[in-house]
Amino acid sequence: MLERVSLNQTRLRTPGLSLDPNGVALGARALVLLPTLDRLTAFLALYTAEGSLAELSGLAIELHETRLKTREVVVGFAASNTGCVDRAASVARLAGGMTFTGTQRVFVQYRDAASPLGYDLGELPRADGTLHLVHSNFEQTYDVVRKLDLAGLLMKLDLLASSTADDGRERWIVCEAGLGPALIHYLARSEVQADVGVVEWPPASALETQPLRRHLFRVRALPARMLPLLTRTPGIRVHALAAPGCAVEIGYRHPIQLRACPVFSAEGLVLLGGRGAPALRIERLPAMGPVAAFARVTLRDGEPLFAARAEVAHSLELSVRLEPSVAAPTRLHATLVQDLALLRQIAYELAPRTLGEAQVAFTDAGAFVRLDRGIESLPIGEFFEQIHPSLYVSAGHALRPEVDGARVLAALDVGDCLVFLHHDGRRLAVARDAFVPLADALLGAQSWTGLGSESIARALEQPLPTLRLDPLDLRPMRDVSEEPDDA
Amino acid sequence: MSGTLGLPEDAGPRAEALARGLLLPLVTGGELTLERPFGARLALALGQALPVVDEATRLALRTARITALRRLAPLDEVAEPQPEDWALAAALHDLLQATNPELTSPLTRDRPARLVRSVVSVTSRVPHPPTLTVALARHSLFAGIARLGRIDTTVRWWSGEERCIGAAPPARLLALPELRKVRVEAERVQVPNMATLLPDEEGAWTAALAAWLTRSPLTDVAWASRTSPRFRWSEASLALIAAPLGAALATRAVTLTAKAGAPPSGLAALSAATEELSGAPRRLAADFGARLARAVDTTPA
Repeated sequence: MLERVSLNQTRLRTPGLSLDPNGVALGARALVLLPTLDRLTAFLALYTAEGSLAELSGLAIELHETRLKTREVVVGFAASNTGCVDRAASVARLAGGMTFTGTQRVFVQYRDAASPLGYDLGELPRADGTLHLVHSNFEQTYDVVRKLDLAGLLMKLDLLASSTADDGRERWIVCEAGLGPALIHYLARSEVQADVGVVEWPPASALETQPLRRHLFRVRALPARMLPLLTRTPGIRVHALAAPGCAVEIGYRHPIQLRACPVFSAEGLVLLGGRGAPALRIERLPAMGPVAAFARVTLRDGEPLFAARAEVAHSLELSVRLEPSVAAPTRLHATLVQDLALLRQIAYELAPRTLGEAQVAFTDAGAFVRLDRGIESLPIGEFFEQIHPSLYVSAGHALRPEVDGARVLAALDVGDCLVFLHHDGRRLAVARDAFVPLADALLGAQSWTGLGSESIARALEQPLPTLRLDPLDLRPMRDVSEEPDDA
Repeated sequence: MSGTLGLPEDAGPRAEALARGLLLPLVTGGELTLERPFGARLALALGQALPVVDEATRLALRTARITALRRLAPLDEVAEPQPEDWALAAALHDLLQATNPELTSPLTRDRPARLVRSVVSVTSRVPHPPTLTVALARHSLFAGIARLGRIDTTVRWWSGEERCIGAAPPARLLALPELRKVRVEAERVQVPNMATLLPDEEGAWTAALAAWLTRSPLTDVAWASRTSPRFRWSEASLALIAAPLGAALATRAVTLTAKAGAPPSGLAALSAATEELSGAPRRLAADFGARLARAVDTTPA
């Protein structure tokens, strides 16, 4: 049957098999034989965990049938070099498959540890099928049943539940037509940057005449507070982009790394849903526009007033105000904690990462705690939103007029300080070097001292107490008795 | 005119003024302004009348006290001033007011002496701190006495001179400076030297200050470097250092005062005071002195 290829061997009997520069028997293609579709899924999941299917050029997946009518899956690809086939063979062994190499019909076992240079046929077999595989343990002839579409296979696989945290990927929301307008106004009112379009699918049956319509939203930064509403409302599905042209519903993950499967078109979109929901395939993305275009507008009465000429330079100075805002806060990075006892209690519950990354400064106004990845994990105090690396405003408020934070800082001229604008009108500047890691502050009493807060008009040093003696009134001693009444 | 508790009706506003004019600047720094003397009866009754200091002053005082206390211990809370604290504050007020030259006239030369006797009377009725917490809280109110000073200004001109005690010189003394060859010299007088203008009562005044200091033993030990009244170990200060935690607090208070620029004579004053003791108190004070010497040696400059 099979013979081991020996060193310095120059001729091989297997048709289409040749020796590569290292003396390894290698055909033009390689095949991985897998007994079931489950094994195929395992093979793809294992392979894509560390590599891309793009490395396997000419990839084809076929369902083959033996003379005994048993069906097996064959994954074929171009054997461009032994490195590529070695890796596929290693993964195939893990997934319970076998690897062969050859060119057209006859394929022999690929090299393994028993024969590092590969195998060759002892004599040519009588093969009348479309595929003849020769292994050291068996010899089998196969006929092709059908080709398997990888994209279709990926869309049919059930998604797995996942608790992976939000990673800021682009979100695609699909909702039923009736919910679309409400969702558009919800996003527009919350000032969420999103695009919307309407997708049509053919009617589900010949009895229906109207196409199936759904609204499709693309959201680049979806506020976390909206997720519970959107994921729990029937008729709305939120997906995170998993690969170009493919998105997976929030809370689930695909068993195969979709980024490693270059089978989806970037011009279209495939939305994979959890709980057994069928995948939605959009061949071509519809025309999309910003939801802000749907915001309610009103027309003013009267003619616009135009200045004729700007001859006199008028001063336009005005007070910058902090006004309540309905915009969704996206960068809650600081909190002002007045109750230090509560902060101590909460500290016992904080994760090591939070304790290590949070910075705290103790001031007259309270303890300012900063956490650049979001202060939500410290649910106490008054939250501040970071609108500039050195400027924070009370959560739920915005600067009016909406001037750039850098300009506000330049106008305040506070040096190397972090400025906190409180909604009650206080402006608090805390020296940047007053912030210490929260973990240090919790463990070392001495590091809690000497971190004074300074107002914008910084007091350089505490004044000495000085006695001032003023003139007294006419009867200064009228209250003075040397002994109290009960003495 | 008396209120419901037999106190003058203006007791509340006077307590407010005491907090604003004396307690707050003593803790945070700034200018202390004094009112009419309180006397023993009113001083001891202020706390019983539960003076409600206005919210802004109360919060500022609390914040400043906690800030000062955190240099000694990791505390987040400090008790509101107790009746004894109000009495000591009023006593200190009267003690400082006794040095006011405006208080006396040719017909009322006995006023400082009466005031000093009143202070001694009040101080003797205030108990020593029963716990370390009370000692710490009291120290947070009165530690500023070590830094308290008075600006005395001497104005000299070609034909004479005049000394203004704790007040700015009037404009008439500064008029025509070139013609009258006016020279102004300002001098900061610390608390120990404030009574030098009262030659008859200086001894009594100093003794009253010493008695007052024994009521806040942590302040007494932390300010051991003063020149007058000379530091002496008292029952309260020995009780303070007898507790291990109290000794640690006192050590930290003394080293902090030294680092703040005080002359390094605190250790010497404590050692000299130890020499006056005998028996177990002496051993206790000597142990504390040794501990303090080690702490001073290891305190970075």
